[in-house]
Amino acid sequence: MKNSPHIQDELKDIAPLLSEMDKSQEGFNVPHLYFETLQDKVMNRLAEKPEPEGVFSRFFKTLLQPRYAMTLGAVLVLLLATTLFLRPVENQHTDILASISTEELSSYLDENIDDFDLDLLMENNASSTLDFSDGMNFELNELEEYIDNDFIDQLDDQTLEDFL
Amino acid sequence: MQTIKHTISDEDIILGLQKVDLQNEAFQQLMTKYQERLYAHIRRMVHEHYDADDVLQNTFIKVYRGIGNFKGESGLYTWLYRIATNECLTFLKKKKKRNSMSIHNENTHVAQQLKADTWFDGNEAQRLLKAAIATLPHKQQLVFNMRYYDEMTYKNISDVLGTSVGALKASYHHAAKKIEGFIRNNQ
Repeated sequence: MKNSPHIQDELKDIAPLLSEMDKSQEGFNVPHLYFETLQDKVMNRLAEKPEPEGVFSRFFKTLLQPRYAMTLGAVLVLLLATTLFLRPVENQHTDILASISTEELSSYLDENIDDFDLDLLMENNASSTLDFSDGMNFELNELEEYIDNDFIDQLDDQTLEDFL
Repeated sequence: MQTIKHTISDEDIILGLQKVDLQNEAFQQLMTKYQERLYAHIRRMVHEHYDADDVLQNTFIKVYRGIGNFKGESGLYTWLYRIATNECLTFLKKKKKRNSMSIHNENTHVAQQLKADTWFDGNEAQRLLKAAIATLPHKQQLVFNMRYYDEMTYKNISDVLGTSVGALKASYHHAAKKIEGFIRNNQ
């Protein structure tokens, strides 16, 4: 036991009675040869009791057993396949369409109008308004009405036959 | 208790512990070097020799199994002290649960315990001092013991307990005052 003057001075200020007490002897004793035999006791205990495994360690060891590992592998492959191949396709299309301007779409429709039938156009734009580049706006139902009532009337029989 | 001087450095012990073929030998050197200081630290907290023996053995087992976690950021002794301190606190918590003893009668219990202990041969003043320390909360006892008996710097105590230096100074000051008061009232 050291007797640091600095610590003694500090104590003198706080607790003068305590600072005068002899702290070199505390009165604690140990059985004969206690420290000489302690190391053997500790080493024996270490040899007897292997380190207890934690919950996580046991869990992962179980998972790595062949039968569990194969199941786990299959589950992982399924999850991967689900993520890669069953991703909603609509979202991709929506993303792509979102990046095309209305002008570009209108222009494409104008140029390729013959490739679309009316049902398809209506189906994909049920609630939308077609915006034509010349500034004329039509609701789809108005367009349908026009085709049914006026446009068809203007067609000659041969053209109508070709359409049908 | 006798103090044996050990010259092997902490660095050599750590190097040995990190090599599989030298591990056991290095661990025995570590025990030889620190067993008495750690025992004293533990005994001051748990009082009875057989309890201190139990806690010390558990401490060394934890040290052996956790040596891979020792990063060398703090000194080896600080790390050992921290493990021993945690083991003490765990032991005292379990004991308190078993005995459901309040802090108010703990000092009486300690005084009786020391009187009956074959491995305590201190005088009345020493018994009174131990009883006075037992009136403090466990964390405050640790601070007082480390400063008063082990004469550790506040910085080292802070490394062991993870408490700020300012808080430790206040805690030690408060503990010393309370002990002084207890001794004066019971002399």
